[in-house]
Amino acid sequence: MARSDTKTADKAQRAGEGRIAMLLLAPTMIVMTVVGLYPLLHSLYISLTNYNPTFGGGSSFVWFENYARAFSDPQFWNAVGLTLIFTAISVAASLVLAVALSVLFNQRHPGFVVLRTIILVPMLITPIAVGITWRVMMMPDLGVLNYLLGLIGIPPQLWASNASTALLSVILVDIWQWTPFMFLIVFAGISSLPKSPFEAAAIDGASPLRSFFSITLPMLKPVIVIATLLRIVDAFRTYDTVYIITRGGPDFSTDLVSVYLQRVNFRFFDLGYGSALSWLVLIIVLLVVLIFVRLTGFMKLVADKENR
Amino acid sequence: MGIEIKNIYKRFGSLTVVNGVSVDIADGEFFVMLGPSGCGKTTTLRMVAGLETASEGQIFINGRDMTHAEPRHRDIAMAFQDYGLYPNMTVFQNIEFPLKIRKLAPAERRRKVEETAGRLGISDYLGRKPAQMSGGQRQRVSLARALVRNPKVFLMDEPLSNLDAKLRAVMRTEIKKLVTDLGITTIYVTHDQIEAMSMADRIAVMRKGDMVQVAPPLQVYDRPATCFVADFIGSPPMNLFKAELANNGRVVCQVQGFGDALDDAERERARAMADRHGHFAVGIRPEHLQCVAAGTPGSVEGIVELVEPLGQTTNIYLLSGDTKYVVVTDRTSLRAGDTIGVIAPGDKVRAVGLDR
Repeated sequence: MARSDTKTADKAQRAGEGRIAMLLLAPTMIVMTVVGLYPLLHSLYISLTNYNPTFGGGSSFVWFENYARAFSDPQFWNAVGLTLIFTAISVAASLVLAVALSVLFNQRHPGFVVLRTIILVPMLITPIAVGITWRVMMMPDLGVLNYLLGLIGIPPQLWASNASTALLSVILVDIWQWTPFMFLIVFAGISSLPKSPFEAAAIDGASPLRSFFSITLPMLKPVIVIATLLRIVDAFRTYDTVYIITRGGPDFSTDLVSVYLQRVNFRFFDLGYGSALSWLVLIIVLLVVLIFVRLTGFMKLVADKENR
Repeated sequence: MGIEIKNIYKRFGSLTVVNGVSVDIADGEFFVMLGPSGCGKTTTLRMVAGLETASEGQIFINGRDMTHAEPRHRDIAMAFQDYGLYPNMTVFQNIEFPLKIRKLAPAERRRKVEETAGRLGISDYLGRKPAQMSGGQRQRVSLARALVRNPKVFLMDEPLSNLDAKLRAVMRTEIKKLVTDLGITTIYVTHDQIEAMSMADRIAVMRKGDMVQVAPPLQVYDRPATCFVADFIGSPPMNLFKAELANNGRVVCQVQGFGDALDDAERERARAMADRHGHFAVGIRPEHLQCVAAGTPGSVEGIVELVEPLGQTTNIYLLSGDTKYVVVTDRTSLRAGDTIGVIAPGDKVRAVGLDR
């Protein structure tokens, strides 16, 4: 048998494999294009028009007018600012809580297994249900929160009904709901850490606090970075709980971008302008993620992991 | 001074892992705890380190009762089987860490780290992370980190068992030399009899939570206290033959010829160690048995079952009656099926007690 024969056979076979690969990938590619790529590009197109179905008829091309309008829209920048504050506080607080809980639950005590499971419950509840439950709990007159505060002698609060406390109230709900998610990831990370460095640190003379900051945290960094990244992206598009509890109010004090976008797009049906805003938000999220990735050396962490 | 362990127990629920161990370890001694896995040697070491709390008993380090002290208050150093390095720190930072905690001045820290790294031959790697180093280098870093603060007591938990055989031999002599030069009291845990024999001032052989025998290496080899010790140390291990004392004081042995070879002193020992039914064992190291021509007076007749040439020595597996045992000799022309005589020199035959 000549060598070239087997070579061509190889080639034919490889070409066949290529075709099969394409065939197998095709359904996903088609679906992704139809429900993902096409809407994305179409919204980019709409954002360059003054399309508004309630005005009837067609739309005309306005180029970057919508984007220019967005830059001078105080309502929009208020929403962006609120969302950044919301995300920063919620993610930071749930991260600290998650790490603290992980360290606590990493000490093996009987009974911790049950508690650990209970902690995960908020994450499993539908956001709408979470919103309704918390709205009722936060009612200034009938809510259980004010009742509990009364028991320890703290005067009743207005919670989400007051412009100065509404944002903190919805942040509280978000922390409550999503700390379990952070906890799940960080706890998995912490319980997979090797034991001997901690024993070595104890023998080297490190106090528990010292060994937490010098060893536990640095070793957990990759896990923490990934959990935080996921949470940032997720917190940025928070909609349902906030919409249920405050609808963006009072006085736009909880008017997060997703709430504002919903209003522009589906109450005013100003779809051209709404699409432009959506694109701006997408760019802002990308920027935030990029800054975060740069600050934490995320890519280097990933590369380190792969080298090992 | 040194380390004094007084009757310590460690129980996990109904399981007793360390069963009343007592031992005095002298200042500057190299003390090896040897035994198979699960014998309690590591648990005993970890109780000295403070990583486990003793269920009962006391531990004194340099004269102070440290039974319930935190590890960081015991002024000990420890090397781990998996090195226990801080993966997020460079080699330099790893070695520096204990000094940093003791709040030494940066210049002083640098000087000590460099000196210790030089002594262990890792000066060139100070900027690396542990993940970028080989097992042998990592263990050196862990030793450097332990030694950099001049500990009085050094605990080592199977530090060489993750290394390959060649490196193990090198590190063995290095560690021994290092801690002897520095005069550090060392407790070394291993399941490797060669490490124990070559490094120890004294060996404690452990079995099921008990210290079966505590003695210098050659004494453990020559006069194993029990069948377990005899079987655990030596390769191939000591030949053991069941024996008992008859009512008239005579030794009845599985291979009578070997039982008869016991000298008076050993007979006396046998009497002392025999259990209440008079059982004990007659032990002979394989290299002490001599092969002679079949029928030589005073010899035991044996049939060669298998010859195992190892180069330096040769193992001959023999069968006398239905008892199997092994002889180590120089090279030989014997082949399976040959019948030979075996002589046990009287001064090499030992009475060995049974294990509880």
